[in-house]
Amino acid sequence: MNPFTVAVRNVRKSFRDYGIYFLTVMLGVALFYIFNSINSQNIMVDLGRDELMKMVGVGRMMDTLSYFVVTILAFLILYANSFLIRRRKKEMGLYTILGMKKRKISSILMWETFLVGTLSLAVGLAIGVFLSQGMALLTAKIFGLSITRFAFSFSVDALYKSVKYFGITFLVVTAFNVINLNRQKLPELLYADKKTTQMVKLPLWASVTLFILSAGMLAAAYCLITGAGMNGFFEEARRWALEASILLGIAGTFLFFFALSGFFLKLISGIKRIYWKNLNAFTLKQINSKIHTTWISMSFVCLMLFLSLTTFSLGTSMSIAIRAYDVDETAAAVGVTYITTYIGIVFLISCASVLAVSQLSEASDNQTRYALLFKLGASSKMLASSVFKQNLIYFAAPLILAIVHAFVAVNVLSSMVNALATLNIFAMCVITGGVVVLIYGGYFLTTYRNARKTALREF
Amino acid sequence: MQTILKVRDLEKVYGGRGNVTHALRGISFDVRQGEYVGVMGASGSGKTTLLNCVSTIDTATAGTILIEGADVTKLKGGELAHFRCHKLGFIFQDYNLLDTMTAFENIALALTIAKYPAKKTEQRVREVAAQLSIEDILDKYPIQMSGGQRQRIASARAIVTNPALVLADEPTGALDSKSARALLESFRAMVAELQSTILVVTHDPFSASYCDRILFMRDGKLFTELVRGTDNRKAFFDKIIEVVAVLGGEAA
Repeated sequence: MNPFTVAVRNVRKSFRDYGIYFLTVMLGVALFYIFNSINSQNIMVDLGRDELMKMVGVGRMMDTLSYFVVTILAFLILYANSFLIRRRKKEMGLYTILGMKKRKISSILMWETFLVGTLSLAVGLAIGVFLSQGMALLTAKIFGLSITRFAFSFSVDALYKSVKYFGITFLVVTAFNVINLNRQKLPELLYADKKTTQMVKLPLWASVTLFILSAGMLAAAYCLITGAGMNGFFEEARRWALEASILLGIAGTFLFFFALSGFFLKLISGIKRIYWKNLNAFTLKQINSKIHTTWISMSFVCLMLFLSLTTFSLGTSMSIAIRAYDVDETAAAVGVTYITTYIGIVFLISCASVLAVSQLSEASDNQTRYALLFKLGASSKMLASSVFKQNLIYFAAPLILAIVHAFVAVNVLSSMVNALATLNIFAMCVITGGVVVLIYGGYFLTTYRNARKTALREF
Repeated sequence: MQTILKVRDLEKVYGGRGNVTHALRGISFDVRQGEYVGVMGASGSGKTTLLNCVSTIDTATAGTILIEGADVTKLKGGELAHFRCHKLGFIFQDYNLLDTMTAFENIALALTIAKYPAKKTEQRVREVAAQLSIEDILDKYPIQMSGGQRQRIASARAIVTNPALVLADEPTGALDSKSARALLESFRAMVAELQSTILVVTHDPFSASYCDRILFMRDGKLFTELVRGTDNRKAFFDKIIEVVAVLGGEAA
C-alpha cells in the first residue's frame, strides 16, 4: 500500500486523537489571519488621513508582534504533536515488526502531518476570513464610527503570511517526528503504553509546610508591589522592591503548584466523611497524581494566564480611557485594543490548549481505570461526575491563582493610568470575564466532554 | 444450604447474518452457599463467556441467571451497577488494582462505590485485612507489592462488601507456584471461615484441585462434573487430569 493511502486512512481513523491538535492549529491560524489583516479592513476607509497613518503604524507593530506570536503558537503545536506521537508509538512499532522500512513509516508520518496541517490551515483561514468581516463591524460599533460602505475584504498579505509561518511550523513538526521516530528502538515503540511511573512522594507534612511557605511568598510579593506602586518603575530607589516582587511572585507560583497536590490531599483525606464518599478518594488521587506530574506546566500556564488577563483588561480600559480623553485619538485607541486583545487571546488559547492536551493525553490510561470501576459497580453517573471534578480542578486551579495575581497587578498599574484618565474598572472586568468564560470555558467543556466520552466508551 | 446461583438453559450467540458463533448452547447448573466451584475447559469452550454473563458484564441471548433469586438477565443500566456492587465480588487475572491508590484505598473503593457508611469504612477494611492477614501491606502502593500480595488485596476488595458470589477469572494465571498456593489456601479460608461462595474459571488443574466441585465445558455445553467429596487434594487432582485428558488435553 502506498504511504499516502495509509496516511489518509490513519487520519480518518484517529480523527478523535487528532481533534485537539486540529482545533489548536485552526484557532491559531484564524487568529493570526484576523489580526494581520487589519490593514486592509474597510473600516479604515472612514478614518481620517492622519489616523490612517497611525493604523499603518499599528500594522507595522503587528508585523513585529507576529514573530513573537508565531513562535508561541509553534511551540504549542509541537507540544500537542508530541502527545499525539506518544499515543501512536505502538502503531509505529507494529509497522516495523511487520517488516515495513523506516523510510516508508517516515513518509506515512510526513503525509499525515501534511494532511492534518493543510486541512487545519484551510479551515483556519476560512474561519479567519469570515470572522475578520465581523471584526471590522465590531470595531466600528465600539468606536462609534459610521460605515459608509461595507464590502467583503480579503487580505492577500495576511494569507501569505499565515501560509508561510504555519508552513514552516509544519516542516519543523515533521522533522521533529521523523527524527524522533528514527531515534527510537523497537521495544521502546512497542511497549510505549506500558510505562511504570514510580511516584516520588513528598511526606505530607513537607508539602503542607511548602504550601504555607508559597502562600507567604505570594503574600510578600503582593505587599511589595502594592507598597512600591508605580513608582517602582520610575524611581531607582524603589526598583529593588519591584524586582523582588516579580521574583517572589514567580518562585511562589512554582512552589504553590509543587506543593498544592499534597496539601489538598492532606486537607480532604482528614475529613473521612467526604474522603470515603462515592468516588471521592479515587478522584482526589487522580488529581493528586496529575498535578504531581504536571506542576511545572501548570505553573507556566498560570503565569501566562496572568499576563493574558492583565494585558487584556488593561488594554481594554486604556483604549476606553484614551477615547474618553480625546475623541481624535480613535485610531490610537483602536490600535491599543487590537494589540492587547491579540496578545491576550493568543496567551489564553495557548494556556487552555496546553491543559486540554495534557488532560486528553491520559484518556487512554484512564480508560482501563474507569473500566475497572464500572465492573466494580460504579454507575455511569458516578464516573461522569468524577471526570468532571478532575477536569474542573485542573482547569480552575491555574485560573484562580492567575486571577488573584492579575487583580493585584491591575490595581497597581491602573493607579498609573488613573493619573491620565479615569478607568472604567467595571467595563474592564465584564469584557475580560466574558472573553475568558467564552474561550477558556469552551476549552474546558470540550475537554470534559471528550474525556467523558473516552471514559464511558465501553459501556 | 441455600442456592446462591441458579443458571438455566443459558445461551449466548455472537455475530449475525450467516456468521453466527454459539458460545453457550444451553447450560444449566446450581451453586450453593459456601461452595467453591471451578469451571474448566479448553480455550473457546465458552467458560469466559459464561463468567461474563454471570457477572452481568455480558448479556445472555436466552435463558435465566438467578443470583439470590433475582434474575440478572432482566436488569437494566442503573440496576445492574447497583447489583454488581452489592451482590458480586470480582477477582481478575491481572489484579486490576488502581496504581494511584494504596492497598487500603483499593479495598475501601469497593465499599465507597456501594455507598457504605463513610464512618465505618476504615473499620470494615481493617476487619477484612485481618481475616486475610494482609494488615502489614495496607499502606503500600501496588507497584511496591509482589504479584501474590496484589492478588490478596484484590481478594480482600472482592469480599469486603460481603457479596453473595465471588467471581474469579484465572486468579493464579499471573502468579508463581508459591504465591498461587498461598492464594488458593486463602480462597479455602474464605469459604471455610467466611462462608463465601466462589465461582472460579481456570485452565490450571492444580488451581482447580482446591475446589469442591468442577464443571467441565466443551463447545459451549456442560461436558461433565466432578465432585471432590471425601477425596484428598492429590486424589482429586489425578481425577481432574483424567477428565482433562478425555477432553482433549487442550484444557491443561
